[in-house]
Amino acid sequence: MRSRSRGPDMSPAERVAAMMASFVGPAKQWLVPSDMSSLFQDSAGATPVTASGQPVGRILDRSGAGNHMAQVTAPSRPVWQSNALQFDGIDDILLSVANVDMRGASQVTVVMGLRKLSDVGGSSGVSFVLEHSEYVTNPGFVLFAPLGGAADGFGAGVNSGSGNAAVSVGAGYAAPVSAVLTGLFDTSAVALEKVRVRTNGLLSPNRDSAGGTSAFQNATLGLGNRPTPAVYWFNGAIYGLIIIGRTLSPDELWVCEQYMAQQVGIAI
Amino acid sequence: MSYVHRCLIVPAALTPQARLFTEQLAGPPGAGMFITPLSPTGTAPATHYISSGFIEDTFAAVLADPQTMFSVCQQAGVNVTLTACQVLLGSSDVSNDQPFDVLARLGLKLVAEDA
Repeated sequence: MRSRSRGPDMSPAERVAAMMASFVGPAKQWLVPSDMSSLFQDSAGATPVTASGQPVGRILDRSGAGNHMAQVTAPSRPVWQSNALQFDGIDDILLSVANVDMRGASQVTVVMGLRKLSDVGGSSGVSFVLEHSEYVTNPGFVLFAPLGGAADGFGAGVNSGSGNAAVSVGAGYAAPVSAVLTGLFDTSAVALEKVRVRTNGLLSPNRDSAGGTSAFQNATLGLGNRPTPAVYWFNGAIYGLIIIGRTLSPDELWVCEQYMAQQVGIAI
Repeated sequence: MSYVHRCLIVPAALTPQARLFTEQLAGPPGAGMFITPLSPTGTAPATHYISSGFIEDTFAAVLADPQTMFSVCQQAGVNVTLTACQVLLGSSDVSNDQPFDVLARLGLKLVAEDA
């Protein structure tokens, strides 16, 4: 598939690579589970993943920022299957090897390709598929899958320094479902624009309000649950993840979502 | 090194001991296990804790037999009795089944609220 924009005739993957290369600083991450060369069974990165069904103890960040993810505890490692990281909804979680430094960013875009297998979640049907920092108490951002059981199948949340806000995509995304989930975070925006969420390229009209204008932090990133695991285990698969510490243009966003749709194997 | 899948469920009362054993016998890959609470109703308090996923095959052998566990503990300098190993494994559920199948079989649910 080719970009709809004018300019170099590059694939979405090539454009994502160019976008990552041109973004200077540590506030970025690009995980590509379909790239076996970035996967290791152990957390130290000594034993490569060579076949489907093997655990993933470490996945390398392809953004150039070195924001690799790992899991030391053996049973808590997701499994590589169908070009994705499969999280069991029991105790699987990947954590950034070091803090992901988002201090220079008040705007962050997150695009994830995923398949959600369950809407049970914990505490009123909430599962954290991604969290940077502890967003309940600190500036941070979150993707939910689900946010509130089947009725609120996906969502995004932000803490901009004075309370937090979470928005749902609403109905229509009950598990099992595959999607491209995008979180648009801007702590410097007006209260109702600090967090917006898109699914499969469609912007949800839902809004929530938060105060404060703090930039994000230098903190741990968690995939599959909160960085300090609680009852919010994600049950499903992650096909890819893009985090970049700025707002994307509409064309850049379209490219990232098209790229991620290819990773998931869906058309959007 | 190769990995095998295991689903491990231990009674809450024995969880501190299970955590100690797994960390001492498996090293860092065995630390941090049994953090997910379970109960028959899905509400606190937890009656059991679960850990499910791939573990080293050598560690799986330790979990398969109390005598083996006791012997490995002795070699590792872990102060434990054979009876304690028998009680731990005898009251735990160790299988290679998928976790939600095991939960259904045992009538347990993930505790859905923070403690």
